[in-house]
Amino acid sequence: MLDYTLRRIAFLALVLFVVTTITFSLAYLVPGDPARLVAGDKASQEQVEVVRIRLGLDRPIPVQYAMYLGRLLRGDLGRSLHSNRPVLEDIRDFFSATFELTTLAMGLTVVIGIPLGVLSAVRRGSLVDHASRLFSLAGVSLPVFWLGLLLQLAFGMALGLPIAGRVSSRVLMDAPLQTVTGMYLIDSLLTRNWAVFRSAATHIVLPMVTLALPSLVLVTRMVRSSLLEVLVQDYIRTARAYGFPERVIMFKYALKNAMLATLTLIGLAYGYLLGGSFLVEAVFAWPGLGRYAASSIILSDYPAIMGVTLLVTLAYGLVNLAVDLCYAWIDPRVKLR
Amino acid sequence: MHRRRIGLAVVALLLAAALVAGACARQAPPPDAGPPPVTPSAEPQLEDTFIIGSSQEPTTLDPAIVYDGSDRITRLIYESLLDYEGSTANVKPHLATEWSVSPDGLVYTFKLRQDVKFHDGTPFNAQAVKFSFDRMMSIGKGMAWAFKMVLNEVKVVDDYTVEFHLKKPYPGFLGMVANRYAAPIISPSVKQYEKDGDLGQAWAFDHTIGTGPYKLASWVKKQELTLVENDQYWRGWEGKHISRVIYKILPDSATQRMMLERGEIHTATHIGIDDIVALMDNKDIKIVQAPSSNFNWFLLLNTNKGPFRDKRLREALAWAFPYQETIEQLFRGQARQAVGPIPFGVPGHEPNVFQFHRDLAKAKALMAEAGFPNGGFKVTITHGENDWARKILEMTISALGELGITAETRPLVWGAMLDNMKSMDTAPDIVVGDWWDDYPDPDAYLGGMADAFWWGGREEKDYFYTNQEVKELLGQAAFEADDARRRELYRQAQEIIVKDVAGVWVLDYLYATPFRKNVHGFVFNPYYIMTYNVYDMWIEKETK
Repeated sequence: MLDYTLRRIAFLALVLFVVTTITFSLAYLVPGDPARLVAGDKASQEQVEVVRIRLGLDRPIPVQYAMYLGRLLRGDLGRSLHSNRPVLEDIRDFFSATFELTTLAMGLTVVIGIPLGVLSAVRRGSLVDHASRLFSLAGVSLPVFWLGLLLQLAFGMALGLPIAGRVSSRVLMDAPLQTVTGMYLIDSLLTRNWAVFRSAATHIVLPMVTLALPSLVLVTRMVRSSLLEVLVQDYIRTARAYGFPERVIMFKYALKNAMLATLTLIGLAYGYLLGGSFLVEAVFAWPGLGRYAASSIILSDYPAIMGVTLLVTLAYGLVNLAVDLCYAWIDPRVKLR
Repeated sequence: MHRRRIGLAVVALLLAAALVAGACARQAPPPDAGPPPVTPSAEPQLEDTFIIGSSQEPTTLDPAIVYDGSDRITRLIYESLLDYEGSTANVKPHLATEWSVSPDGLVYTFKLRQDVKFHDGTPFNAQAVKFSFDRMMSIGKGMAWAFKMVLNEVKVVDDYTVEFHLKKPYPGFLGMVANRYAAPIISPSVKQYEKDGDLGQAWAFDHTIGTGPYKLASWVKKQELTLVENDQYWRGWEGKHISRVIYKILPDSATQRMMLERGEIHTATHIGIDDIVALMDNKDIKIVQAPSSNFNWFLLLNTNKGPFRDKRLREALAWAFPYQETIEQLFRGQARQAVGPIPFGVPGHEPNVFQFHRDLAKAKALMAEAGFPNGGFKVTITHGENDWARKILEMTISALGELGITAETRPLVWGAMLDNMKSMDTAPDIVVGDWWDDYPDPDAYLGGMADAFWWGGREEKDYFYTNQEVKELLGQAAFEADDARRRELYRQAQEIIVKDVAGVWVLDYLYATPFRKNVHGFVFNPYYIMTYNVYDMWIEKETK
């Protein structure tokens, strides 16, 4: 297992290297001159050239790339051309917001999606099954930004749930939050700032539901169909013939075997969402990585774009590694080599 | 079967409940949205915090660099020598108490206020003014390009007198000094934060030491900025004022509108046209609407490359464009058809230049005359990604389609769009554009446009349009001291530009700023668009 993990990590490093190379090359193909961007639209050509030299953009591209890799190995992602702050600091701030939202959304997906899928499979054709199918159809067909707006209208305007931001400005003014992890719910719990905790908890509800819904319905459908396949297998029939209680058959034998595909799906969805979901973040004014990435692209902020790309690749790789390790835990037949 | 029917009924009930919840949306108050009800009294109670919703986060708070919507924040922290009076383009004293101009128009002398201090206690004086302008010119960003064009040097006469020496007389100079980006006056103490000769740029990105009524308390990126009152402010805090400003970053127009309706923000800067029209029916919202010198839309045609080198094809598009339909249907009546390149209300606007209207038959006849009776060719269009540009783009594609011309569209950000226009290898055939003039002067409008789009002005390089006569007229008019003569030169230039069909001048937009009804004291100035005179404003507590 350890061998396998180390090899996967080495492979991930290789993937990161390839991704860096591609992103670095792409930065030179898209329109826009980063030196002019930093110097300003109205800067004279001389000023632009001064900036070009200062940023090292006058050197041959392979040299620039080698310098970038050298800095990267020292944990330096460079400085944002826009904010002038180290990219790592920018990313840390935005990633914590995305991590908090995505992890809760995936939690919701697992907590609701798996039981709902099991229920639909066990009670095929029942009210629960119909409702879950309708729910799934809606979940996958509604564009996420539109769903967000609908939820804002229905629950924000009617029930008074906050519709934008991470916490109420007024609450934060009265009870400033001490930053520990950058995740407001955790930080407010750690510092016992209950006013901020309450406000942050209500603020996260709608974006969390919006973000969770598409993966939740996929998980529900996946669990249902996998379980239906497993439930007609010979070994389940044998178990029933032996008189095992239905609960034991379902959770000890059937669900475990039906979970492999679902686990892959959860891993992929989680990795994907960790890159930030721009649309949900834009609708709910959530200051996450998706918005940071989008504004970096708009401003042609190459160090920031490369930093985000690396982080997303890393997150994706690590989550999928974790999923692969879980396979062996769930299914003893799986051998990790 | 019975269980299934019950199931369907329950699902239907759930859906109905969700719909009812949505329908009731407007009636229920949010929990921490508005202030608690107050009992009426003779003197209305005031709120201390003004909350602005905006989709645009400042790109920097350094007053020497600001050259975009960041001035919505910096104008509350940093101040100019002069300001525009009310809603007009006339200048009035601010940090300068009075000014005089030498007879040859080359020296502007400003007397300064003597009771002003920067937020850190550093006294404001002539040295600080010279330091700040020199700093802006050295950094070379923001408004530096405009001052470099005309300014030779800033001289300290005494502690409270400063002279601006110009290279040649420039009639637009006072307007330039009062403009929204010409507030570079920062405390000289910023020098202590200098790093690698950056004149304190990295520090001033998110730290402030101005003279203005507010100072930065916090900036949580992509979330909000909070400003608090500068209790040493030279105008004092007697009377009705706002002591705290929260600037919330809300990227989505619909979210801004909902938060405004819920009373969670007091105003918003980027609400789309459809949402503005919807807000007009809301009794809790008031809308201040006025012509602006910005958001005026046009199509720039590439007269130096591709099909639009043929003037007949340019004219055909100008006759085919559905001006009224665009204004009525897409802009919901919140605009009027443009007359010439300089919009209504902007100095130098010429109401009598030729105005195209839609005449498809004439357009088709011109296409036939040019040898393209059924079109049959493709053009490229670049455009910005915003509500206004997309609407104009839609109508342009439709007008081109009627002439049998297909379009390939390319969304680009402003900087990349300008870069693309400057090389004929990458230049498109059409650019959907608008122009923000920096200060109320025809040179800032037409000269600025020529500089950016047509021939790079001072760089003498042709991009989208070439006409030697227009070049000379604009060059001459910019520095012409005689008002009447100057106006005539701009009139002549505009006539030629319109005759050459260098662009299709589509519409001048009526800019709308929505507010909660309890916000008072706002004065709209077309040259300070999307900014707020917060110090002069006040908010009464809302009673439900």
